[in-house]
Amino acid sequence: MKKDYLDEDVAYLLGLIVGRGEIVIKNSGTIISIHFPFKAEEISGYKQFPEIIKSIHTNILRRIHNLLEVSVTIEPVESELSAYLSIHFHRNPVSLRNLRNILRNKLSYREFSVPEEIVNSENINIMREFIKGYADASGNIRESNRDQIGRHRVYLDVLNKNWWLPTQLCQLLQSKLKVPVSNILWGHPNIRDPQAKGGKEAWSREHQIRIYADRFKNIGFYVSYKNEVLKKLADENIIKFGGSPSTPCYPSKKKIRRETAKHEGENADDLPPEIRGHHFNSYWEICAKFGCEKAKRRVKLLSRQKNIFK
Amino acid sequence: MKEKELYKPVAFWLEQYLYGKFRNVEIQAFDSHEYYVSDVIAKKNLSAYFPQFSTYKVKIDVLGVVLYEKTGFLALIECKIKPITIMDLSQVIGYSKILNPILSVIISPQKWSNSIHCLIEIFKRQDVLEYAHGRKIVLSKWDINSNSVSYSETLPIGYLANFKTLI
Repeated sequence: MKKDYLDEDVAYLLGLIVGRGEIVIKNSGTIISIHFPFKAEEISGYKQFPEIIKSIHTNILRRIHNLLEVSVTIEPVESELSAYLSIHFHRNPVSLRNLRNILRNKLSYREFSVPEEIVNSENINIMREFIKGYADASGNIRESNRDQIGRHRVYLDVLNKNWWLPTQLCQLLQSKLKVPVSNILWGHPNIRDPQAKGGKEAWSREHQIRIYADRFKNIGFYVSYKNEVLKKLADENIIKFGGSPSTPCYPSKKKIRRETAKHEGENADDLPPEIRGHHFNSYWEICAKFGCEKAKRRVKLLSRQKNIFK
Repeated sequence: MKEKELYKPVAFWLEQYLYGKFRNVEIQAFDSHEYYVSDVIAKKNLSAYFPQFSTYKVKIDVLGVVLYEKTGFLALIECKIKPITIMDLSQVIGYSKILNPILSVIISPQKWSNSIHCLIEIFKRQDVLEYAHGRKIVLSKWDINSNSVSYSETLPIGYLANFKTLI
């Protein structure tokens, strides 16, 4: 594998790693460990623990083993209802160097970003496989993910510490893959606890990128039961609502519906400097702080209007 | 589901796939199940790229062409709705021997039969997939949700992803 080598299989593995991977470097070698967590024991009649083990075994393990030609193992942890896929490198082969180079030598899903090589790839299948890998490890679909009127959604979770990743994933989905994102639920006090009624750190949870099921169908999952549930719930969206909006999240049309309450968490040390001490009324104001150009334009326009009416 | 319903999305996928693998070439992919490949090539005015085209008297469900300077290359996909069988494979081996495409794929939303699995995975007979030096027939599950091949359920595993470096 040459340096910067990228094909659909590498893209899929990168998606898994960026979603829930950690790279552990030891004297004896390097381990890439990918965590497959899930929140409920059962969704839509599927018992998640055995299903995920089955899918890792049949769809994922063989593919990664073939790609890297190193030992790949599944470590089920029944007590916490999750599983780990571990890739063991005894030396530092070029395949590992290639992965680390694309990941800019970062080590954990707490800090990974969407690799430039993926964003700049002219191969749509490479981008799709990356998102599929991300979704297999860090995405979920279940009935409780529905919006206020009942349309089903897929959530792609991003760890709270990783503030730049949600807008990067959103841009890849919307600009490159033409998959509209409904919104991003940021793990921020003004968004998770808009009336400031929750506990001190109740807001400090994962960020969620929310995509309607019928729109995410074009991407899908390799974890079989997630794909089955996706199909069922996507069909429901189409039958009940004639499908979900096909337009991407477009902040210039969005209004601030309700001002959020001042929250003591706005100054929390856990928040990154870009937003610490700032107050937000809507999710896209945070998107603007983390690189969404459309949201930036909207924020600029709003502040100009505010100045006029002052 | 009818087999015919697969042709259009499969052609769209093939075109996207080939675009992802090649630069500075002309690419086309289309539903060709009704006509002999020879007639398709003639109708599309591509005969100059395929000197042996008149002998291509076989019908392929989905045909892709890659045109580079004065040379043309074929890519073919056979669609099945039932699990891919040894007979399906034998049929496509024959077609591929004649057409010598750069890519030859059989897809089915129901993956492949037990006998295929046994032959290739258990008895390790990947040699039966080879129709020309270094060129192998690819069997893949078709994902009707995403209208794409399932890269994780492909034989030989990794072949489609690594395709460009193989030719």
